[in-house]
Amino acid sequence: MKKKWLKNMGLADARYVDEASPDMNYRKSNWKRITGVCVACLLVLVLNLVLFIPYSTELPSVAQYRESEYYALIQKLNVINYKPPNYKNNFELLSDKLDGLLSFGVKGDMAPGDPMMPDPIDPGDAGAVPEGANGTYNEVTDNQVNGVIELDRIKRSDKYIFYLDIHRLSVYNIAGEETEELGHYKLDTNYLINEDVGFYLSNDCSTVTLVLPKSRTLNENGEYSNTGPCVEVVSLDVTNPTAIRKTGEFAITGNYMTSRSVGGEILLLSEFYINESKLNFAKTDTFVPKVLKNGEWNYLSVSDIVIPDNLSELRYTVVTRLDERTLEPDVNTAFLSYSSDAYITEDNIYLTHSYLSDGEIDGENYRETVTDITSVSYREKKVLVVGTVTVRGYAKDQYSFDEYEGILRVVTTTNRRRAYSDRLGYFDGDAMLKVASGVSNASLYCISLDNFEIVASVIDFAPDYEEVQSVRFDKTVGYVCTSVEISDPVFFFDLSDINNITYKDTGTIDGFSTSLINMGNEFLLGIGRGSWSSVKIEVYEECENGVRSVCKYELQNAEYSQEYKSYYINREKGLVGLGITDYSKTGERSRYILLEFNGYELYPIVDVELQGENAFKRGVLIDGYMYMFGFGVFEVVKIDA
Amino acid sequence: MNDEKIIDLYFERSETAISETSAKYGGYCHTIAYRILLSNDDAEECVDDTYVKAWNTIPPNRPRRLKSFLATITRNLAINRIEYETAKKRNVPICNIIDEFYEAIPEERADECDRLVLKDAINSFLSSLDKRTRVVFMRRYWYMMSVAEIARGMDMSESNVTVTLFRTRKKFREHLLKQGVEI
Repeated sequence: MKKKWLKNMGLADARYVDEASPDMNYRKSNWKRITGVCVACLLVLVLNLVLFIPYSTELPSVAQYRESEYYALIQKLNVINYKPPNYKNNFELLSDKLDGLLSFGVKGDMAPGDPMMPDPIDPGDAGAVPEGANGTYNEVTDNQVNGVIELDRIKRSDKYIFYLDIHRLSVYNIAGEETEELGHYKLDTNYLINEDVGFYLSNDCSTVTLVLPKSRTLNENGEYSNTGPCVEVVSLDVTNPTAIRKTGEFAITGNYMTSRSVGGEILLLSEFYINESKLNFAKTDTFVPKVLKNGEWNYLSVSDIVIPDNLSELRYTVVTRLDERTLEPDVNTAFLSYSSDAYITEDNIYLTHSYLSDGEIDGENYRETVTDITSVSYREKKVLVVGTVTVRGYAKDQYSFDEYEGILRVVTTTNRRRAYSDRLGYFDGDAMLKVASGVSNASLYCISLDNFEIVASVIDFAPDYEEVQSVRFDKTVGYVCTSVEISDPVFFFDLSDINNITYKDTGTIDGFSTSLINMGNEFLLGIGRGSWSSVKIEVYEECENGVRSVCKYELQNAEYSQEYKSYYINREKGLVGLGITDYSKTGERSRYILLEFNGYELYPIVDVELQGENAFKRGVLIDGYMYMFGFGVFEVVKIDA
Repeated sequence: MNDEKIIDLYFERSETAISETSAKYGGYCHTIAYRILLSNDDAEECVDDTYVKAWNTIPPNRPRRLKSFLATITRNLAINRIEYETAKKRNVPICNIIDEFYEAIPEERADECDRLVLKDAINSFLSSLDKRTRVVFMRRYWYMMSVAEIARGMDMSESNVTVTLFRTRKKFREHLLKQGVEI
């Protein structure tokens, strides 16, 4: 049977028999095999080329720009902008990425004495106040340095009060409860960065100079283009408050840093940041700041640019001096370097740059923030780099610096921590805190302005983990408030002998102060928080064994602004005014309060409702009347202070 | 000489028909016979018998494909010889192929069946296969080639050939059941 079936296979059609004949070749043809091998080899070759060809480490050539006046600058920028590849080839790159998937101010020495624009400078006389049609200038702003006027939203003469809110500059007569707005100038609020807006009033009270930082730049067509920020400066003739008119304008590309009015000139510091991703040496505006003069944009000349030998960052700090009335720039000097903050005195600008620095102590690697402080002299004929010093830590703000009798005093928050050479287990909480936040503390440095060397210091004077909240210097005394979380000590430093610096503190008390104000008579006023939801104003005084709290005024469920210029300080009468937002009652209540310190206690003498951002509110006491300004509103209250 | 002319020689009763046939297909027929009989002498005898049978059947038959015509004769003669050998209780190595193939036959269909129906069933099955599978199947159960020989000739692995044969036998079984082949 079985064989019969096998025989039955003989019934298969002849074509199938022929098809299956043993002499029919069904082997895969060699050429297919060879082609397959060749293709495979080619793929392997291509893969090797893609994976293992080393990335180029050569600096890109910029020879095509040799005819440009900025060629020397371009060459420097080319070097700093060049980033060598992190990996040797694609294989390393892919390996690293796969591994990741699988496992869970320039430090550059600026050459001192670099000469810039040769135009002579007339320092003017900050003290003389010419009597003009608009009256006599009266300082309202609590300037850090005498004679160096700071930008503010309120200025006054003996006739008028000038106040700048978000939309306009208003001029008010000074008439007590009969006060009214006489005129105003509307701002171009397009792309305005409100937090940095302010103005100056000239000594003769005839000119207001508005400083208007913007996030976009107006081009020649009068349109705002998205090429980056700029600082606009506008001068206004306010001799007739009812007919305020624009008399001049200036602009410079970049971010606003700070400004001052000194001796009839506006000193403007701006920062021009070179965007590496947009850097194109064929387009000058990607690497050189521009200024607007007489309606035309022009690049800073290469002779206006100071390039340090050791360049590490693509940022300029531009120092511009403008005539207060005409806004004609006397000087434009761009330092190709860095600056995160500036402290300005009558003669010098101190530019700061903070960065991380690695070191080793007792065989252990550590990392901390350090700050380079560069002094630039601006009042002479030329703008010059005077010297540079490096201190540990970072400074909180301009008040952390003070120049006094040839010594620069600086208070910093230091934050040394162990470098991540080995990872800590997450169960080690204390060690993690130390590593993560560093063992922060506070330090005081005294630097000689003759040779820019540290001549005295008090290192880590605060409890561990504390950070500097506020600083104030007053000649031979320095005040520092530090805190961690919501408690602070306040330190009083005796700086009369820098070879023997002593200090006292309050010990740990509730709350912390974000601003310290010397009220005179050895009283120190601190404005800050009592708890995370309260506003606290406290008075301290030095005593034999330390520093004690004299009195405090605290508002629960309230907010305030840390903007120092929003505080009204009257040392003569012991007054302090500020805007607050009160959340304690139903709904939000925006207010302005004025406190009086009588030597023993702080108590409110004015408490009015006043709309607006606390940072923009302003107040001033004139002849027994407290004038308070907010957003589109003002209040006048008669007081008997 | 092409197949048409060789067939014409048969029709002309020319004795050169046999020599021409031997020259062209002698080795082919020998291979078929040898695979079944595994003996050169027996294979030679089988091939000679193939020529005789071809002479006796052409004419009147005029095969369209001379090669497969001769191969079928040789195959049948060789299988008949196996029947003879097994009847004489002689060792027949081909039995494993027979047993293997018989697995594909449904038990209930193991009896005799109508020849035309069977032919139709077999050929319809073969036509349903892809060429490569069909060639493997035919080489195994028509040409009685070993798995190794089939693997070499088809550029396949032996296990691949074995699996192909297993699956095809299974399909053949299902096909016969569907066809309702009365065996």
